[in-house]
Parts: sequence; C-alpha cells; structure tokens
Amino acid sequence: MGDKIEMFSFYAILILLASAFATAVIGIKREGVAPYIAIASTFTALVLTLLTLRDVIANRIVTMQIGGWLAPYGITVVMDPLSIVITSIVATIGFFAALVSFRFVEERKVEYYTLFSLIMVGILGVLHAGDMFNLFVFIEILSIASYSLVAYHRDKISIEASIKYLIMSSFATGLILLSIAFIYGLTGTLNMADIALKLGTESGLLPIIFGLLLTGFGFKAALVPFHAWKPDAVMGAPAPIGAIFVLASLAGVYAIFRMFFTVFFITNISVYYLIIGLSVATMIVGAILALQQTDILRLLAYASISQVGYIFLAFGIGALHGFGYTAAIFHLINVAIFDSLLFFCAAVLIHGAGSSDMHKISQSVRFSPILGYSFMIGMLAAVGVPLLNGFASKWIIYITTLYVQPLLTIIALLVSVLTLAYGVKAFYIMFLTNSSKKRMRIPITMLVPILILVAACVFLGIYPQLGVQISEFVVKNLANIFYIGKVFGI
Amino acid sequence: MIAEFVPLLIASVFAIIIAVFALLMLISKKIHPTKKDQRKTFACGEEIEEKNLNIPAESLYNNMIKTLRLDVIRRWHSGNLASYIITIMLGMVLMIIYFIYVW
Repeated sequence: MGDKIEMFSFYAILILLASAFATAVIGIKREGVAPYIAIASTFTALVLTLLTLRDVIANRIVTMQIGGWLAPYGITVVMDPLSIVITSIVATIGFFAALVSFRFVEERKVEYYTLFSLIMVGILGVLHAGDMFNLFVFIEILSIASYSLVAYHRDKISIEASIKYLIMSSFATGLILLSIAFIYGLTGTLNMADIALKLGTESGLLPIIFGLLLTGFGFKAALVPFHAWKPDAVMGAPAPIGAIFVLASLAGVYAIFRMFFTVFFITNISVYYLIIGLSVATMIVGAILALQQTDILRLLAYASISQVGYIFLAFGIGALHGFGYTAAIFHLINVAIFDSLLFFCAAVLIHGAGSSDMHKISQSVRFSPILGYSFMIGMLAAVGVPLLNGFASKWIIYITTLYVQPLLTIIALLVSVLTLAYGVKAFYIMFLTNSSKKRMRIPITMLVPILILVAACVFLGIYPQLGVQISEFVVKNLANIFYIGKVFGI
Repeated sequence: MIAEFVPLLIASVFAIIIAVFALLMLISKKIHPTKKDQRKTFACGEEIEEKNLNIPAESLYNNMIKTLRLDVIRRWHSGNLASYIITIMLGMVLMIIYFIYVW
C-alpha cells in the first residue's frame, strides 16, 4: 500500500534544483527574473511538502524507491513524522527567506538565488535521504552552496569567513565520509534501514564510527566545541541567509536524531550523558558569547547556538524521562520560528542601516515600531516568556530536567536569564537609543513573513497543545522498527 | 503534592537568578568602575556627548564580564583557524575515547 503513495515533497527537491539551473541560465540575460523564480519555486516546494505532510499524518511513513529498485538496492527516499515536520518548517522558512531576500538583495541576484536554491536542495535532500551516501551528497551540496554565499559580499570579512568555513566544514564532512566507509566495510550496505538490521552491537569499530558521525553532524548543528564556524559564516553571508543557517543547523540536529533512533538505535544511557554535557556547554558558551557581541548577526548566531543547546538538553534527558523527546521536537519547531523571525528583523535593520553593527544601526534610520515589537516578541520567545512559543517548550524542558537532575533546571533557567540580558542589550541599543530622524518604511515582502512568524510565536504560545501534539506524533513513531518495516515493505 | 509547587519553584528560581544577575552587575561596577576619562570622546576637536555615543549600552555587561572572567571564553574564540581545527579534533578524540569506554 505504502509504495503507491506519491511522495510530492521529493519533487520539491527537483523543482528547486531545476530553479537553480533556470536562474543561472535565464538570469544571464534577465537578472530581474531571478527572485521571481526563487519565490515561485520555494512556494511550490512548500505546497508539495504540505501534500506529503497530509500523507504522513494518514500513513505515518511514506517511502519511495527511485528507479523501481527494491530496498536495500537503489535509492530509498523516506518521509516519516520526524523528517516531514522539519521539512515543513524548512519549506516554510525557505519561502519566507526568498520573500525577505526580494528587496534585500539588490546586486548579483543570479549568483545569490542560484546558491539560495541549492542550499534549499541540500537541506531538503538531507531530510529525505534514506541512505548514507545520498545523505552525504546532499550535505556536500548544502555546504558548497553555503561557502559561496558566505563570500557573497566579496569583502575581507566575507572571504575570510568563507575560507575558514570551507576548511573546517571540509574536515567535518571528511569525518562523515570516513564513518560511512567504515559502516559500508562492516555491513556491505549504505541503506539506513539495512544498516540498522546488520550493524549489531559487537564490533569494536562502532564507538569510533559513532564518534566520527557525531563530530561531523555536531559541526553542522553547531554543537560546542564544533560551533566556531557559525558566527563568522552568519556575519559574512547576507542577513536572510542567517535564517537558512538556522535551518542548516536543524538539518544537522535531524541527522544526529536519525543516527540515534534509526541507524544505531542507541539505548546506552552513558551516550545520552555525553549529549547532556555537550548541550550544557553549548547553551552556556552560546549565551555568554552573545552577551559580548556588538554586531547583531554575530549576536543572533551565538543565540541560535545556545538554543540548539536547549534542544540537545531535552533530547539527552529524553533517555531518562520520556517527555524529554517531546520537548526536544517542540523546542526545535519553536527555535526555527523565533530564530528566523529575529534574523528577518535583522535583515530589515541591516537593509535600512547598511551595517550589522548595532551602534551604527541605532544611528542610521528610525525604524517602524512594528519592527521593534516584532524583534521584542522574537527575543522574549527565545527567553521563554509566558504566552509565547518558547515558553511552552522551555517549560517542558524545565519540568523534565527537574525530575531528572534539578541542577540542569537551574542551568537552563540561568541561560534563559542570559538570553534576556543580551536580548535587552540588543533591543536597547537598536531601538531605544536610536537618535536618527530619518524614517524607513519596511518593504511589504519583508513585513509579511515577519508578521506571520510573530503570529506563529503568539499562537503556539497561547495554544501549545498543537505543538505538543505534533511533537508527540513524531516521538511515537521514532522507533526504527516502523522505519525499517516500511522501507522493506513489511 | 510536589507537582503543585513545581511552577512556583521554577518561577522563584528564575526570579532569584535575575536578582543575582542584577546584584552581580552592581557589584562588578564597584570592582571594575568605568573611569571618567573613558567617557570623554573628542572627534576633530569637538567633544561628543556620552549619550550620543551609546557607549554605556554597548558595554552594558562589560564590568560583570571582567569580574566573572567570562572574557576567557571570548579569547578562546580568537578567529585563528588552526585553534578552531585543533578544538574540533580534540573534541572528536575525547568523544571517541568516551564512547570506547562506555560502549
């Protein structure tokens, strides 16, 4: 039955890939068409993803065998609740990023939108991949497009950031490739479901393979101590790409979840203790460094690193308290919403001021109060203030950590206070000490995505049951037995 | 029984942390006070008022960061590529050793 269901979201990847080539070809003569192609293709991708979301809600897991080869041969594409929830977020934020970029990007549009579409292809491909080889290929597509976009401004900061990111990321993806080679040597297969069946627990290579994978994907997720690339890369890239980097990090988080639940099916509590340790370091280091920033993009980059720490804290606690996994998924959804909102607000500020330095932003133009309130809502959601989405997921994290280890609750609360501290600082500098008399109107293509994300923050804050239900639906279907059964058509 | 007090407990801890944070800011201003001559800024012979420079806002937490030595973490993020690569490798090796030990 399952193989008769068409996986529409897979066609979203093909459409975005085609749009990348179309932008490059058509754009040579008519550069002005590039943003329209990107907006149309990301919107189509969103619609196709929502169609697959409907199918996954009805059937739990949707699979597709490309070329008709049965698994484990050929290419397997899988959409389960975990991947479709993240895919839906990526498609939505990707469409919004294309809208925000419409007025933000005023030169070299062909270059920008070609790379933008390729990053979307990479992220969506990672979320669809049912085998390790294609997972690696899509990570490479995502990475190569990112390196080029980081160097987009072609100034000293961008080029330096891009080269650093390229070297560090090549090292990390090299580790992923090495671990894939080890896995293939042990099992003779690259299909994730098949690896899960054949891997066993006896080989002495497993801890090394898992360590290599966790380093590689931890780098993508910007987990401390593999996070150093993110602030430089975000600062070097055009501001709307900051939101895309949040999505790229979530793809890294997804890959780690996939390795834990599907490929290795980790039940060893000690492994989760390490995740808790890394998450605490990520939360604290991200927040303390955000506190010391004077550049809004660097501040938001460190803030997003800190929020990824919360996701992994909940995930690590999940092994000890079942509700932790629900909190991790719910917080992942919320982080995507409020972090994108903050990056889009930053894009408007930088578009108006011509600089990402908070002091220069405050001196340049006077922004509409709507932007100030939107930024404030995004920051308060990140802090975890009641009636906003961040509160709902953080509350579950506080409660679950309280039952497992109260010290973790105190650390989580402390980092929330630090979040409030750098949020107050950013808001105060950019909006309350603004001395400019020149006013700036927010372009409608920038305002609409911001307002929709503000509404999402408030809606999930006053109706958190929806987020909890979605997260529980994901958690109930995390066990790899469903995944393996569906891939092999059992 | 305990569950009823959990929201109150969490809210109280949150409030205490904010109070401690504010207290730390006040204490660190005493330990590392901003010198008066640091507030004067001359540009082309003209004295610029402090409020127009936004210096207090940008260095809002500087006294506290100095007092708690939190700037150590910033120094670790020197921008030096070699140190970043070494950090990644060190993290990877330690993780693998830990996994070999607990697997």
